[in-house]
Amino acid sequence: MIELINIQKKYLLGNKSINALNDISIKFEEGKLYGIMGESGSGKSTLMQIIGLLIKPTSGILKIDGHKTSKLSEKNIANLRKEKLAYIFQSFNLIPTMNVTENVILPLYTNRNLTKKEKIERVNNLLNSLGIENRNKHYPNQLSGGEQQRVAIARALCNNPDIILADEPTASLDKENSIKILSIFKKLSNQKKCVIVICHDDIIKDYADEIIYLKNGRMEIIDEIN
Amino acid sequence: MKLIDMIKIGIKEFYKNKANYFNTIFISIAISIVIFCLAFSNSLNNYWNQSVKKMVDYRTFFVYYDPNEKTEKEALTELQSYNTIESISPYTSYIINMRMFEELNNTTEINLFLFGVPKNTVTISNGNNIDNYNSSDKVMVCPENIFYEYKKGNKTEKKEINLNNLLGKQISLKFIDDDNKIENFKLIGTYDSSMRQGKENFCYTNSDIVTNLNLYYQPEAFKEEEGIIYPLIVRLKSTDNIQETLKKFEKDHFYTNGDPVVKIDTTIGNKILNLITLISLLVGIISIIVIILISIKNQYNQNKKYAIFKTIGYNRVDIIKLQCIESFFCILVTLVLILIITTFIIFVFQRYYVNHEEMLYGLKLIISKFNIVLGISFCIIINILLALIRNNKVKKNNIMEELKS
Ligand SMILES: Nc1ncnc2c1ncn2[C@@H]1O[C@H](COP(=O)(O)OP(=O)(O)OP(=O)(O)O)[C@@H](O)[C@H]1O
Ligand SMILES: [Mg+2]
Repeated sequence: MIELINIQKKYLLGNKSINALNDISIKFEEGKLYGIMGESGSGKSTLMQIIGLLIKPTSGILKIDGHKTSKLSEKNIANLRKEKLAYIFQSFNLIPTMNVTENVILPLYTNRNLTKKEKIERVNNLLNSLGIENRNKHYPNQLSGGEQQRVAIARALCNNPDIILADEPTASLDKENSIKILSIFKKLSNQKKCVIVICHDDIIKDYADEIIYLKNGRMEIIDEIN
Repeated sequence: MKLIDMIKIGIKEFYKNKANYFNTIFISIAISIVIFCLAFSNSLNNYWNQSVKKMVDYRTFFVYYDPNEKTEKEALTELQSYNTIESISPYTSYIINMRMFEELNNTTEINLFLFGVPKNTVTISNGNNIDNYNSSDKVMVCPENIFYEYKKGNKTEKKEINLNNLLGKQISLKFIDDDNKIENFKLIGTYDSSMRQGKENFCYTNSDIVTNLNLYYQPEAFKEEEGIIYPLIVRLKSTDNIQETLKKFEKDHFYTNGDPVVKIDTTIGNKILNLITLISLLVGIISIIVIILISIKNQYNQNKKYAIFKTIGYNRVDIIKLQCIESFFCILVTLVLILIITTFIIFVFQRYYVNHEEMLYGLKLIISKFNIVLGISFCIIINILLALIRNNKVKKNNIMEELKS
């Protein structure tokens, strides 16, 4: 489903270049939940952003469904984001001028197959399953970090994506809610989706099929849990 | 993406974004000032050119000639060849001071100036125009409301009577210095009193009539005497022709003091007009600069918002459409605000300045179609400019940079 071949990412800061990722080659398959772990600054977010097509690697090849992404046009990339890829940011990235429902329904506007009623139903179901249905009229600045995180997750899931990329989705959640979220991700991976989660917490080991450890931009080990 | 959804998002984003409020209000005020300035200078220019009809005459000049060089007749034919001149009449036809005895109330005596005017001069609001009568008919056009003086204690006060019910009737006039002879004039029409300059009664009749009256009642004042030269009264087609015509007078040995009959220095007038235009231009330019600076600052928020849209699958076309809709609402609200603000400024200015300024008596501030088109285009251009700047920025940055800003 997703294949990285010799991916390298350098950041240029003035005349200094930082090697954020080095020589990463890895395959992600559907129906599996992947955990990415590593210390702060090890390149986890960078790797995720490359997979999410938010930044381009300095060198190396990224294939999604067998297609080289460097060859895709802007429009095709937008379509991939719309139909396949969902990205959950470490910093939520909710739109401050829209309330919870408006934020979550936003990706559905680009979906012409659903009626308005179906869209609203889908949003309500998602909010229900994430336990934030009573917050639907609130604005992001009226929500706690954990609630904002769940809104971001709802927005990512509402277009029913095949690939879910989550950058520390549990960082601002308590244990109970973390478990809730990870179970949802687990369920999704059981529905033949590819879920990749960055997580500091060892709790991920209870859910992930594979854990990828990064250190200083390099892949250390891949831990196959089962 | 459906248009209706886009419009919904566009409207919401428009009113949730405080920067939009500031922009629209600022743009509206700026454009309103520009439109007001243009409308004012336009109305003023118009007013000066239409001035004869309002007795504020910036187009009429007294022109002298050297009787040793040419006769009155020669002077007349020579002036008739000027293509900037609308009409020429002898000095005797200009004005005579008469008294009217008001029929409704015989005790009142009303003082009026009877002007001799050529055809196509007076605009009337009721009745007939002098143009429909022969030049020998004793007919006149007066203001709808005419002033009369009366004594109240030690003070003389002015009051107005409406003349409309005397339309079509004969009115007796006497020369101010003569109590014996009565001149009967038929009141054929009235003009809008607000067009009148100052608190005097001005009535109009044909030039020939005034000439006859003047030669009858005060012949000594117009006697041909050694050393006294009577001017010709020349009316120009437009105040724009003043400089050109004055130059030609000089070349052809005509003399004038360069001032129109009602003393208004048109060079000052033109300076005022230029100043107003300059102010409006400056306001326009400064506001464009300020708006662009503000929106560049505001751009970071906007970029972040649209970067989020991109991450959830909106493509560039979708985003441009959304921005266009947002701009469209900006334009719409701006136009409504402009309408309100301009109407308000013009109302206040008309009521509290123009109506109290003797020099501008009867001036009506009017927004022309041209001003409106100009205002709308200005508004649209600013918004398109803003949209272009925005798009340029959206193209340049990559998503992560926009999200982090
Ligand atoms: N835009 C950027 N410009 C320059 N350097 C960057 C940029 N983004 C990340 N880096 C650097 O790249 C390295 C990897 O960063 P990254 O954000 O991927 O780490 P991370 O593993 O996600 O850390 P954390 O757990 O704190 O989120 C870090 O050294 C960071 O300073
Ligand atoms: Mg990170």
